[in-house]
Amino acid sequence: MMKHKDRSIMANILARQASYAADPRQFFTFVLRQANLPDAWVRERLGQWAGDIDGEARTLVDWAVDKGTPPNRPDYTTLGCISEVLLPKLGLEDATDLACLVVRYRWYKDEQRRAALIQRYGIPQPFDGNDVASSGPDFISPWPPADADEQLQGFLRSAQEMDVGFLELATRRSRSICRIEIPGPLGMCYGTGFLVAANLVLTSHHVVAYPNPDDIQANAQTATLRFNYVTGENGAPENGLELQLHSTKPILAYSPTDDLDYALLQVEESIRDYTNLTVTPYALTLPIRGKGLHILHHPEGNAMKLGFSDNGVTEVFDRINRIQYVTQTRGGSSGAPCFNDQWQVIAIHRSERSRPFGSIREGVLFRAIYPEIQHHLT
Amino acid sequence: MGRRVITTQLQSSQANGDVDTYFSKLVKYIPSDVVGGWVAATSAIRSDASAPTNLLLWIAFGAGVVFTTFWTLKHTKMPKKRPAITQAVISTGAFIVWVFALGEPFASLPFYRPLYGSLLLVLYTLFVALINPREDEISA
Repeated sequence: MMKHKDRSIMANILARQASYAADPRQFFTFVLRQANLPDAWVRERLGQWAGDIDGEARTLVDWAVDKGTPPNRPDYTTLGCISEVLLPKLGLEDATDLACLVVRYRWYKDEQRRAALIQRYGIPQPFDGNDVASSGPDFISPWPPADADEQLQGFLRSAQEMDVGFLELATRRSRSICRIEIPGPLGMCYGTGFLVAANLVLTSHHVVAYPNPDDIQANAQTATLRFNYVTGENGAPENGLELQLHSTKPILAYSPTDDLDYALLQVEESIRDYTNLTVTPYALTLPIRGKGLHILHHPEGNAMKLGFSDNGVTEVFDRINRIQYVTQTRGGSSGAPCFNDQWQVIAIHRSERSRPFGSIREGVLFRAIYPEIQHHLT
Repeated sequence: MGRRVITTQLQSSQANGDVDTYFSKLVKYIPSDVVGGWVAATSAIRSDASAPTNLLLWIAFGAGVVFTTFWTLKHTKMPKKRPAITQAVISTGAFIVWVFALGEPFASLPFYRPLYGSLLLVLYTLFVALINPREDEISA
């Protein structure tokens, strides 16, 4: 049974879209026809008009709920058919709300289509309780209450505003980021790297120390770099641009994992043909505690993600060349560039550290690495 | 889940697991297996009324302290990492606190009150998981 509050959300989305149209009635007609509902249903609905946009939107939602599943489209409910028409036309906030409703009420009956929505719109999933053992006694089971989904929707609606220029710069920088894939007996090792020169990629030493820590050149010779590995319009990752490293000397410089933990990789010459790839600018000044720190990375080898924090830098250890921050990362993020608010690289992400409560992330300051690699960059 | 408290975890996808949180550190610091063994040992000692119970309990307690230290060091050993001395000390302390809370052989001492043991156990359990071993911490 669809909750009243969720009916209102759906009706508001419809009403908002209708108000943008030159003729609101035409908008509702268009939606019903594009939804591929049975002709008789469409005629039945078009024969009515509630008199105003809000009323028509609410009536349409109630009507669609009553109709259930259309006989000609068994993989969707009626609201699912309408949602499919609406989703590509909505802004991010409305689209996220609508996607939440589709997932919650299973308006798409096909699980894969729902999974694509969950991934595309980053819809949080209810806690399933399987991981209780790893997080201690289950003190929280009576909490949150049954309306947790509504709380999550509320959380999404109050998402932080982001400057579009900031996002554009992030997008520009994303063209220098690659996923590093190294096969081995324990499976594929994923890390992240970024272009510091036309054919040079910087990553963490421990990423290329797999599978054989004693022969990183041999490890690197089997590596694949995948640029532009991002989520496509269908919600699934696109293949991206796949490149190999230089066949004879894939690693130009490195520092061991317990020191500066970096490896400078030499990419095959054909990378120069791809003009859409860009080199990441860097800053050699000492980062300041309390300033922003943003990361473009491939957590768990997934499509590229942006981790951002307006005041993420918590500590800067100049003497030991480390920086700590709260920006979220996961396994596979190692080697990712840490950017300042001007989108210049200030560090390379490498690890997570435990704190009395929770944890913190840690990277190596780029200004410490730069003197060792600068002659390769010119 | 390994027994060693992990405070630093590299983040390539081949790195195993996450760093330990407050609750997982708590689980790893308390040597529940040794405490379980202690409960069984005390029951066995008390079951023979003709034996010098108090003396045997003190001997078993001393053996338990030594055993806990080495047992923890053994189970927290990891390649290319320093011995988990901090964790061994904390686990040994936890064993002592548990024994103190359970009573014997401390109950034979004149100053002992069960209340002291209960309070000490609560405080130790609450605060000990705040400690991060420094074996692989950075020195700022």
